[in-house]
Amino acid sequence: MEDAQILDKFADKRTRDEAFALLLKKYQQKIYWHVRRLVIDHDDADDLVQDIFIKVWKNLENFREDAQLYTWLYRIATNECITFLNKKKQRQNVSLDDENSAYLADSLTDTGYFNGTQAQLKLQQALLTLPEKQRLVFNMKYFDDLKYEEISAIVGTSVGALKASYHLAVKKIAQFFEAND
Amino acid sequence: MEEKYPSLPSALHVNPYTVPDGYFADLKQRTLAQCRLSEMAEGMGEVPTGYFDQLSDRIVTKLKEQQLKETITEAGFTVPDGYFEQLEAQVRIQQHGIEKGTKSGFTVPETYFDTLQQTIASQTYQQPSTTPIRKMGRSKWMGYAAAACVALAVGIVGVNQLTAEDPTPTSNHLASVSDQEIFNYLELYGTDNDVAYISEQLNEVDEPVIGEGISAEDIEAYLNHTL
Repeated sequence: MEDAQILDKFADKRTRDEAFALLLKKYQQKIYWHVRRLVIDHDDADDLVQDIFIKVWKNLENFREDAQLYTWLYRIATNECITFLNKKKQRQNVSLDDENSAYLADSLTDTGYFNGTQAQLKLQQALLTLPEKQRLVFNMKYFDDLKYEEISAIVGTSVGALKASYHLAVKKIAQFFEAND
Repeated sequence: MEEKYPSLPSALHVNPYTVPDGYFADLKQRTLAQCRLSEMAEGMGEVPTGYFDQLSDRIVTKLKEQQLKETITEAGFTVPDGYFEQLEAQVRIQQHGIEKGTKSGFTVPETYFDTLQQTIASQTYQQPSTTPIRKMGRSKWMGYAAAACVALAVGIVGVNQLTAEDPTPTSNHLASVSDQEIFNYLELYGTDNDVAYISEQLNEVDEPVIGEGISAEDIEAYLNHTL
């Protein structure tokens, strides 16, 4: 179902529940994987996804439609993830100025829900050496195949800066692979 | 030609050169197109600063990205079986919980439940242990009355002490100090003005008058001796 139709249904109190169920069906996996690639741990991602959709439920009637619905959803999800990761850093006594995500490395190896190849594991390890925002941009471009304009609307960074960030991310990942061959 | 060079034979009065068929037909179009191309080439000369310096680096990085995508298309993460089916149900349960709370009219602050546990803990098992205060068997007013009596007695004694006259007033103390001692003290510790002022106020210094207690004969003898 098109987003416009979901929003129309949501605007009508009689069909609000149905609209939300449709929205969940349409976006839950996309949002989950976006969150999971950021926070790594499945249980953390599970909690966050539920929180995110509750927030969506509470705020959808205020959605101004000046952006695409999925851009708005991604933005909520991204902000919730960043807040969560900052709290996790504090709990683990990691400085907020520490740009990389090395503190998540344990989650990568401890999580029971990683069934990737060696190459996939190496890519995730390489990603954890990147600054958080760079990792975020890489995930959205590489795995979600979003356009730079869409990523710009989600994170609030210019297209030029995003291109530069992605380019650097790919270079660092390539160097990581060469160094860890 | 014949007018200019009348000596040339008429057989030579022909143009020996030829052109391709239709040459002149589209010459104008071709010339105009060539002019437009040269104009465009001049206008398209602008590229961002350092573009060509970075271009090869960008192409190489793009190639590496393509190679990466050929081998890795997924992140490798998995989820428990049936997770997404349950996820929807869990979110709906929370959503209905929020709805019910809203319908009853009661609400809580947004972060209420997040901080509730800590609030309770800080007021219960995290409180430092305190020694219980034992109550006296007697009624309270007896204690208060006794304390009031003691305070009154202390107050009376204290006031008497403060208001009792000093048998040796300050003026008597000062009278026992000679003028010379006062003068000497001021010379040492006072300012110049103090010394000058006091010396005016003091009675005549108790110095013997010059010549007092010396006889006239003694004075005459002294003068005869020295002169």
